[in-house]
Amino acid sequence: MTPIGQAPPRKLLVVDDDSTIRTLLFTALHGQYDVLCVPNGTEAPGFIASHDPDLLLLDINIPGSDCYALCEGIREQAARRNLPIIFMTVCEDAAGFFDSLATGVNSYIKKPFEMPRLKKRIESKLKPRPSA
Amino acid sequence: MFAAVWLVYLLAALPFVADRLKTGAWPASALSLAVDAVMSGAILSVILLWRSSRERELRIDGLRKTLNEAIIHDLKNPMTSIMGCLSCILQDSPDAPRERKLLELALHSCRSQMALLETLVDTSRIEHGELIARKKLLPLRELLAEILDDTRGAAAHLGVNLKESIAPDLPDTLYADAELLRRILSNLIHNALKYTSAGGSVSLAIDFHDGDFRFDVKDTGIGIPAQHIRKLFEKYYRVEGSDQSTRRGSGLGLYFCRLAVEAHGGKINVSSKTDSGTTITFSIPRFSREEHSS
Repeated sequence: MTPIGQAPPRKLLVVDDDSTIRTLLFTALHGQYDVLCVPNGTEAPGFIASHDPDLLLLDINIPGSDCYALCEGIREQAARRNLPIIFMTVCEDAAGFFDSLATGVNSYIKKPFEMPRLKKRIESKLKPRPSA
Repeated sequence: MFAAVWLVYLLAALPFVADRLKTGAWPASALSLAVDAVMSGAILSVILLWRSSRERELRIDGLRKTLNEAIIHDLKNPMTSIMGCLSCILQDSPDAPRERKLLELALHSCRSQMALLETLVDTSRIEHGELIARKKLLPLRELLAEILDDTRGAAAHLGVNLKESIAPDLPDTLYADAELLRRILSNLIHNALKYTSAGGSVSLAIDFHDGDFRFDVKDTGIGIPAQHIRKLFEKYYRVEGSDQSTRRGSGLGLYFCRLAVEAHGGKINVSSKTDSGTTITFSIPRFSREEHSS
């Protein structure tokens, strides 16, 4: 529960098919953020609609899920045109990231990554809270 | 195709067989036809055998590549968990020096494993002739920030000061292959860190002159003896140092860098002096020559 007068933690949605990575990200980030996890791109739109996350951490290599289409779908919604998306990848082809810019991905981080780097990246991409 | 050619010869031979049955002797042209048939069959057999063996080779090569990619993918995901956990505990235990030391050691070993894996990927790309620069207009500063972020952890662990110097008038964009550029700089910086003792420094300087970007990776390390410099960018060439156990390499890193720089139409050079450090400089044009002229 958020103490009175204190802003609630920002919500992150992790989309990754690897349960170990989901557990790692949840454990490492949940003290600082409200972390939600889904295992595939199919469930993600429903979670985004119902929980309205502040940032999306998206593994782009999920078998059976078209994550580029997911990004495009998110960007088509007026309310989520500016939702920060960080794309996680094991791919050697970083050029893929620059292609994905067209679908609205804001940043990418290559796996394996170290947690301080990921936290720094999340902080740099989260939009400042609107002033009261 | 093979069967069809033989069928044509068989049909062509039928009148001669009929003639033989009628007259009791083979006409002279029948012999020539038979020789033609045998020769064509032999040549076709050789071509078909060569084609089937080549197709098998390509299929095996393709399978090997797919297997390599799957292994690399499956190694990186667990490594993300291990490195993520170690770095998270390390960050959360600032007051436990012994534990910190042990965690840093484990994390450093993971980074070394990843560097080895990257070398294997590079080798596979070279062997499959995939070292082609897929150039795009890139946001240079963003890319440099990524690369330096990736190397700061290793520099901190080794106690080496990592510095950067970016010319203020540097253009914002560069026409290059993002992944190749990342691998070139990462290889050069890690190499410089490997040969620099704690307390030393490694610096990356970038400037832009006459349409070319110039990258300098300079270290204050052990340097390279003059006799090795000429062969430094050759495949599998390694400079054996005094401390071979900790400084061994695959001999592919600098070879890869040379090929990757050349794939961009650039050049790579080294200047070094024993015990005074090394500077590796490479330059790549902002735009490819053909694009510049169009």
